Parts: sequence; structure tokens; C-alpha cells
Amino acid sequence: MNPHDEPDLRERFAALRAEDAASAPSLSRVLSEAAIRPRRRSSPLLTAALLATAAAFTVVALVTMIRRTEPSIEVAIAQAQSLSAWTAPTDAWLTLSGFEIPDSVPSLSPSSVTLPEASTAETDTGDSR
Amino acid sequence: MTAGVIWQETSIHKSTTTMEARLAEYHAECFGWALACCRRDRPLAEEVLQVAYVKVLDGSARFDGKSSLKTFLFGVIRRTAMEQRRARWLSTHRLVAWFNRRTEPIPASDPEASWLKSERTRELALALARLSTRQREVLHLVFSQDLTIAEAATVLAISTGSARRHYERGKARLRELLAGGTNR
Repeated sequence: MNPHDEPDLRERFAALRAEDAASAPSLSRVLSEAAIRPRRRSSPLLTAALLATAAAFTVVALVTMIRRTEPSIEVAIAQAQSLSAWTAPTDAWLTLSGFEIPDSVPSLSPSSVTLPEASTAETDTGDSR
Repeated sequence: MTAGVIWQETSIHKSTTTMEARLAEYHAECFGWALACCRRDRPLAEEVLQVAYVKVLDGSARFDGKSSLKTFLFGVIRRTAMEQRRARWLSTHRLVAWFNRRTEPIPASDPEASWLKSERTRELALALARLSTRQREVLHLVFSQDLTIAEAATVLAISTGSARRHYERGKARLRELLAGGTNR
């Protein structure tokens, strides 16, 4: 942190300082020129006017921005309608291709079913083995 | 004219004379700092010095003794340089000049440094011109004006930590520029 650990830089800066000091205008010249120099003071009225103008511009810009970002009612309704009419592209996969699931249990009658006859041996002994 | 008014005027005259004597003590250093604040633009630096001295002498910038007089003067010069640069920038004439200058090709070397006699000094001025404003200011205050980093921070109205960071980075960059030539 100590500038004395930078001998090269220190030497260069010292040379620059010496040249600057040698070329410095005399204090009396600077002061005499300063004395004849007209001082510019900013008028408080001008500053206030500038500030008021800047504030007005800011307000107008903000109002314009807010108005632009808020959609009108008609636009909002149109957006809602278009959203409700929207269908997903995969909806087509859910429709059945002609095959319908029966909605009642089919009825069975004795004439439509043929049952095998039971054997007599099994009936007498009661043992099938 | 009452005695009170005469006494007041006499004391103002006395304090002005004292301040002028103290300004003479730091004048060369103040000019060097004004040059650094004005990117080595001599006419602007002289203008800044005039305005800063008037501020100090007419009391619109008051020395309250919280810091050293040198630190106070450097702070006034820095603020004045900023005001003058802003005023120049705002003036239409300068804006047009700036616009015209932008369209011209950039010169190979910095003409503001051309009045420096030694090659090494010119090299340093060109390298400093390539640093950021803060880095240049901190390095100038520490190396050229022998201020501590804390004093440099007071002049620049920044924290000591921030001044230290600018000092370290600026020094590293400056070494790099001086080692590899300022064309990098």
C-alpha cells in the first residue's frame, strides 16, 4: 500500500509532477484572471423551471406508458372468447373409431346354451376318483 | 461606515490575504491536480483553478478544518472540474465540436501529452489517460501528491476501501500498460 515500494512508478510520477510544477502559471496570474472572470451563477428560477419541466415530462411519459399497457374491455372480451374456443390438438385422440362399448348385459336363455350330460357312475358312488 | 463594518471588512481582507499566502504554498500541487482532473487539458485546468480559487477566497467554499487544507483544496478543485466539464458538455458549441471530433480519425498519440518534455513522462501520461477516472485520480493523489489512500478517499468523497480497490487495480493496469507500451 505504500507508494515507496514502487520505485519505478514513484520516479515516473515525480518527473511528471516536476514538469507540471515547472509549467504551472503563476498564482498572481491565475488570481488576476479569476478577478476579471465573470462568475456564472445559475438562477434559482431557471433551475425551478427546468425541474418543473422535467417533472411534467416524467408524468406524461408514465401516464402514456400505463395507458399503453392496460388493454381495453373489447380487447379483453375478444381474448376471453378466443381462449374459450380453444381446443387442444390432442383432443382428436380421444374419439372412438366406430367401436362402441355395450351398455347392457346380454341376456342368456336355456335354449341357447347346450350343457353336457352328467355320467351315472359318478352320481351313484359320489366319488369321481 | 460604522466601526463594526470596518472591523468586519478588515478581518475579511486579512483572512483573504492569509488564504492567498496558503494558496501560494500549494499552488503548484493544485495545478498538477487540476491537470489530472481535466485529463491534462491545460486551458481547462487553468480555468478550473481560477474558479476554485475564487470559491475559496470569496468563502463559497469554506475550510472547516476537518481535513488538511491540501485535502480541502483538492476536493474543491475536483468538484469545480466536474462542474466545468459538465458546463462545457452542455454548451451547444461544445456539443457540435464533440460531434465533429467524433467523425474525425483518432490521432495516433494524445496531443494533450505532447507538451511533456521527457519520453518517460509522456509515456506515463498516455498510460494514465487509459485508466478509469477513479483509478487515475487515486494513483495521482497517492504517487504524485503523496497523500495516503485514506486522504485520497476524502478528496474523492469515496470510502477508503473503495479507494484502496481503485489503487490496487489501477496500479496493476498501469504497470501492464507501461510494460507493454501504451498501444495495448
